[in-house]
Amino acid sequence: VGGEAFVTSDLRRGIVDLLPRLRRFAYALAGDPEKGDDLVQEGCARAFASLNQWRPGTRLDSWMFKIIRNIWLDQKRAAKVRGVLVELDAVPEPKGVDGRDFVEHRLTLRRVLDCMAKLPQEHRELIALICVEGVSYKEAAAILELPMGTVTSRLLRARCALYAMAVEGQDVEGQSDEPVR
Amino acid sequence: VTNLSDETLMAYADGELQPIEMARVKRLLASDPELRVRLEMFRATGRGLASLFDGHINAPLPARLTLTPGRDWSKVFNLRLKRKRQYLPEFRLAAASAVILAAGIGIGWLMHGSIETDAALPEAARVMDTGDIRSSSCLTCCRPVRKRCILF
Repeated sequence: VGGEAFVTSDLRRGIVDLLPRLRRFAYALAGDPEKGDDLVQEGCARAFASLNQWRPGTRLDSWMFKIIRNIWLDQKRAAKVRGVLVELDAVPEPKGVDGRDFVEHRLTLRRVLDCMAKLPQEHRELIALICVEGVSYKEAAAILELPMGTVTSRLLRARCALYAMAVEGQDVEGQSDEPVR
Repeated sequence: VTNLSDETLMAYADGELQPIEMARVKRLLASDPELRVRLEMFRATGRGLASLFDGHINAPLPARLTLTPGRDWSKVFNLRLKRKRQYLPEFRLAAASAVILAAGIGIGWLMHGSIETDAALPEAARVMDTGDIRSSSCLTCCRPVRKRCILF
């Protein structure tokens, strides 16, 4: 019992240490800092309530990414049922980021997020996991429960669409890989 | 023009290739300007995107996240305890149901035994007379007659 308590305490501490990454990932998914923090809060609450489901050998960051991603998907599905909420207030650009040069292009966070918002969900989550969070292709495949080949091909399409929109200014919206039902 | 797939070039930009393959692509890039142009797309949309979020993640944590994930452990534990208390009545209900179910099973078992006793009496008499237990069956439960069936 003492060992379990120790593991649980370690896990909680590990989750706290992951907070900056979880917030960044959730922000990238949700496209909005407040909604991102909502996801993190819900994700932490869910994780804390089910720490016994975490298995030794499983990466804690991957486990948390998966939880947050599932909450995000649940919210998207729920929004689909009840209708899409339209935010009337513009999201302010975070301090210190606005106008920041990125590589040779003037990619700002707002621009990237706006373009990501136009991507299909399965492309957006890959960009958030791999490009924003630096998760390996293999780990992303495990988190999303997809074959490696699917991860690579989807990521390629997502990156092409993102580049076309964010850098080249094209009005391209990514095509979903989901079969039409 | 170098024949290199976009997938490979993207994996190179993300550092996902094996060292030998990384070195090969690096050599190809050194001699192929067009390939470097193609690489730019993956660099611009690659892992450097994380730095765009620096302002967000370096800002102080909002209060709700400060409390929830355990910066203040006592509040987290209180939250969990509260949840446990909320679930306690359900647990008691479940425990009571389990006791009633167990009692029901016990009573049923005893009754089954008594039925067996009544029905098995002639058979038991035969068994006792002949001493042949193996060839007999309990008339109620259709199982081979055992001492339990006879003695109940």
